[in-house]
Amino acid sequence: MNLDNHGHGEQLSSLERVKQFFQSKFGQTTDLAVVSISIGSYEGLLCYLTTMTSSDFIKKQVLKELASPEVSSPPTKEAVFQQLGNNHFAGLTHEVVTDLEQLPPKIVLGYGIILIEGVPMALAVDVRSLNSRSIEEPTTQNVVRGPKEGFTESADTNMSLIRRRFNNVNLRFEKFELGYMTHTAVYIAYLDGEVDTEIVDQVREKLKQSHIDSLFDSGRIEELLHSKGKGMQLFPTVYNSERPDAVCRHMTNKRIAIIVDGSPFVLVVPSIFTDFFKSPEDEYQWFVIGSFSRYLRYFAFILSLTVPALYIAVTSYHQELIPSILLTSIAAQREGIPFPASIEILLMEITFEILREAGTRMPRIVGATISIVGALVLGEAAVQAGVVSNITVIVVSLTAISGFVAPIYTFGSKVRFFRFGMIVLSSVIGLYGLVLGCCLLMIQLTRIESFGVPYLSLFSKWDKRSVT
Amino acid sequence: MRLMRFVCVLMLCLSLAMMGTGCWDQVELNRASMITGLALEKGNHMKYKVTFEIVNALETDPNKGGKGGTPTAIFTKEGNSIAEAVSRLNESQERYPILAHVRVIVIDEKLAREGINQFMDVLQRNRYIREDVLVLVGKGAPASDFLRTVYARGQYASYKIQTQVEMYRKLFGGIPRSHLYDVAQAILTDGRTLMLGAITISGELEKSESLDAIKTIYPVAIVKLAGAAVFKGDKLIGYLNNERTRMVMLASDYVSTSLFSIPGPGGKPTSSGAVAVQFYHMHSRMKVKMDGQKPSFKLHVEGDGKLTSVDRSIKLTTVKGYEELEHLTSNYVNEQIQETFEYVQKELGVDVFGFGQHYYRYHFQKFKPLAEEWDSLFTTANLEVSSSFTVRRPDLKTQKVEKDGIGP
Amino acid sequence: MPSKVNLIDTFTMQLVFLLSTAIIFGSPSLVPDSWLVGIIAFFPACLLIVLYCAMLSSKEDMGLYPLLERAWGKVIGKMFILVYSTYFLYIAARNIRDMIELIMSILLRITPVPMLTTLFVFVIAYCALGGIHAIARFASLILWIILFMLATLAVLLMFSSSIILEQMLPFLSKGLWPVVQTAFKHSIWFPYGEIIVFLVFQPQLGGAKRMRKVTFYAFVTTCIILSATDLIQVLTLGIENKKFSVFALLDAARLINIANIITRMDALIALIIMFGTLLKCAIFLYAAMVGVSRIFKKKPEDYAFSLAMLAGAFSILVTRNSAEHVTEGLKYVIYTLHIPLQLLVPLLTLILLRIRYRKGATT
Repeated sequence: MNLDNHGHGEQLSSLERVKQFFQSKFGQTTDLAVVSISIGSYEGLLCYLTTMTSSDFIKKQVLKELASPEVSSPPTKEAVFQQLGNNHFAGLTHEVVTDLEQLPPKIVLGYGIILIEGVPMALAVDVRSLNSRSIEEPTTQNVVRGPKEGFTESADTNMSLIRRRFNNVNLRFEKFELGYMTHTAVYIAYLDGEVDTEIVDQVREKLKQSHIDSLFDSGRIEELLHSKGKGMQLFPTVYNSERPDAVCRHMTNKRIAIIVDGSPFVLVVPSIFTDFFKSPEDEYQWFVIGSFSRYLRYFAFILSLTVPALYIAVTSYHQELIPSILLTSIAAQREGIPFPASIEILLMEITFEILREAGTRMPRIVGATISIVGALVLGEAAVQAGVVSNITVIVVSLTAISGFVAPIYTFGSKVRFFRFGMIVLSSVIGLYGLVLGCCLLMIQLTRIESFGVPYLSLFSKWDKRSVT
Repeated sequence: MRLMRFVCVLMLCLSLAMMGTGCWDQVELNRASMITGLALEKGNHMKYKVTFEIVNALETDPNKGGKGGTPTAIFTKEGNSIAEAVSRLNESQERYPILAHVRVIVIDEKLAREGINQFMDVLQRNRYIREDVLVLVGKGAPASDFLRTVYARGQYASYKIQTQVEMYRKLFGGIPRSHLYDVAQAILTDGRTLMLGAITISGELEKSESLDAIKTIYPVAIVKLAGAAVFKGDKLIGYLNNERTRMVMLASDYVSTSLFSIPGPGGKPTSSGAVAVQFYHMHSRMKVKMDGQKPSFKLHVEGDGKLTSVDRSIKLTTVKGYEELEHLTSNYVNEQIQETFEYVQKELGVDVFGFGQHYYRYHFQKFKPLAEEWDSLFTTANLEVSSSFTVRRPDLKTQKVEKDGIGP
Repeated sequence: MPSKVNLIDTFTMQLVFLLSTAIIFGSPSLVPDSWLVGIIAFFPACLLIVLYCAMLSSKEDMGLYPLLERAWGKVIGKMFILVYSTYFLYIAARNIRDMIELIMSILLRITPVPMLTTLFVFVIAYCALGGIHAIARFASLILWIILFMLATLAVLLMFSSSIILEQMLPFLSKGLWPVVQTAFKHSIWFPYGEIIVFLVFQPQLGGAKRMRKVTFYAFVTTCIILSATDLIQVLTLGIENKKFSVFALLDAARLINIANIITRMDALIALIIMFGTLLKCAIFLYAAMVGVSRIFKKKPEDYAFSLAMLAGAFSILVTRNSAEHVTEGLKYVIYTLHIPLQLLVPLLTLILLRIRYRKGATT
């Protein structure tokens, strides 16, 4: 900070000094454009980052305005400056800055600075025009019926997608800057009057108190928003979505959306267990089909958690629980398999995990190879060779498919982790272990609170408005 | 949070400890063998001789086809208790015996005559043996022989016997419900005697042990159902044939589907004019009361069904035709039940119908003093049977297809 | 001011608490018409609610432990708190033992009991750590599972035509007296009387006014469900056969057979009992934790694992075999623990409170 506080305005009035100042601040960066222009009859200066805008935008929106005849006609510098703000750039976000030190952060955000020689003020005009992805169909949460728009990496676009769905004065956006390296813009959006103000306060507090250096995706602050203290964070308490309609639906249910610039995934807090099983499509269909598929998802969730463990428990501990005929056919398949059922399942599960990981990370062109290798070599050949039994392959693939039913990917990935726990427990003490594992999970589920809201509670529905 | 970490570490240690010390209860399927049938006989050297039917799972799988071996292997062990015989099974074979899938327990006739209560306990107590396992009495052949018959369907003998018994009971009713659970029930309940299904073998057993036996169209030896084995207390005292068993079961409301073939006017089963009626929802109700020192039973049977074959000209377009059919059936069933009742009274002298049980349940205070002498009272009792059958439809033809003749 | 547990959650918690072990171990097998016992026991059990509620309302809904201190003074009150904590821990231990007995006779054979108990006890402690709110929410999950399993059981039994109405006859063959006797000797104290543990959590559960209503409904529902399951047992097994069963509901479940495919529903019973016992023990453990922490002035959470281990050890050491366990449960526990601690001490406390309260009011 400059010790000479009076000098700022004067500093701004001297274009030379401003140029020097920028030179010292930005160094040799090539994308800083400092252009001398003439505004009417006066000498002026235009500064902006070429990487934050497009030359087209500068030409059409800025230079054209500056060159238009009205600018040149008023007599005094101050009047010209006033007019620039009031008439020419009224349509763009603009701000009058009187402090030289405030200019670099503005420029970094994509403002163009217009200065007139001798005027102790600078006009910061938002000239940001970034090349961002156009609105496309979301890739992670697909619907057959329903809006096909998805969030993009641009927070502005995302906010407009939300605002477009709420023609409501109560919709509020609040801006935060996170990350001392990146100064990423983070917005929270909520419907005033619907949300609990306490929860909004908590979210604000958490965002303000965050100490992170950089923020490139909303996944990073998901961690931040997890409620700490009540047990381990084994289940996600922050919902994320690429779909504006899903986010807006949640916002009508007392939730707060968090938009991070640069991430197409908008977060929703507080989220409860059932949120992760709702797909926006459920509401666009006949309610019976909607709820049927929702319950199917719960069922698949339970399946993907327990089926391998149950298989192990039943085949190697409690053979009496299977119908005789089924047991005979399982036994026939297991005949000659060198491993115990638990090892077999673990082997296949790990194989599947590797396949899945490879499938998501590998370039799309090679993707077909994975499926061939996975399906043919590992599935078919392993069975043929008598290393694993058919039934194991069936069990593993059933669980694998069920694991992907959850509409939110992060949820599915956490389930996978528990599955291994269940497998270990049930291969050690059979059904008893499995039940204890389930108990632990249920206790965990009921213990979590997300921003003071119980994560799983069957009878007190927090987001139902009828409950006071 | 520190606490949580502590718990995690503890859990981890525990699970590691468990993994290290072994999975106590683990029984791998490919190191275990399923026992599917038991045959109990009197032992030569020890008290019991137990024959086990053990499935060779690979051979029963139609997809893998196996190596052309037999679907089962038979092992025989002797022991002073059945449990001992089971635990000595590994003298002869290598795998862990799984008892949970026993389907049939065949009791030898000789053993049954000595009383079955001596060994029932082990079967009832053991948690692996199902309550609905069939307990049958092998009539006319050593019990172990029943497990030795190979059957063309590739399944093991006890599976065949079990489904055979259940299907027969469902469609015809000629064999009593003889689950392990029913044994306990019958022994415990007053005024009822135990009846178990009886099975017998026809054909040449020696040839039937080999797989060659199923390469012929006509099965070399086959297990047949032979009605009921009747017990007094827990001792076998005699048999009822299929026909009489059916009537007993009908009287005690265990039969709901059956077919009656009513003889023609000649009276003999072979005389022409026979009618066959299929009934579907049959029920019976009994009433018991004491006429002085003599009990008197009333039995009412009802059911509805259809005509399946008719060998005389009954017009089924008229109501009268149906009435005639119903009347015929009623008479026939009444007669048969009466005949069975008298036969049981005379030959067996025990209450297989469960009249006593009915009396015990509905008139407990009156039954209480009679409980001890009920069987002797039963032999003096008289039965009054009534029945009302409804024939609903004639299937596809209105009457027997024959020339009516043209004329007035 | 602690936040209150949701009304329905309170109800479900009490319901699961009452049902959990009583479903299998609660039905007295010595009387022929055991299903009547539950119904008869219900009415005197309601008097217990009246007693407890009177006790609570006499001193602004403070919960059992503070009430004891108020009534008996600091020292004797603390002793009583310790007695109650031990009592709760002991019942928890008994329940664990019950469950382990069942598990050892359905699911496992060789696995050492201490291992099973230790694992189970850890889960209980983890559950109790969550506090009464989390336990209540957990209970609502458990309730659905238990009810679903019971309904499945009933439906499957019906489909496999194992339910024979005749089997409940002869009705009252030994007269009404034995039934009433068992009701008073046994069923009032277990499960109904054990509801006293909820007095500990009263401030969070809403005090006397709420408790009166909620507990009454919980009692009614418990009575209905228990009698229904008892009736199912009688109808499937028969009066004569039921006497011989160690676990009658289990034996009933074993009769399920639908087309030889749906058989052997033993596991359902194991699940019901495990979930139920878990919840019940967690509640007892939490009550004991609160009591101990009140005496030794530390946070309840600090005692969770140690007390849980203690309960586990109790459960193994307390009796040698199942017969001893059962006789202890049917005779000594009822006369030396249940009746004094569920009836006499609360009654005396109530009287003391009333006297003191009146004194306080006059001065």
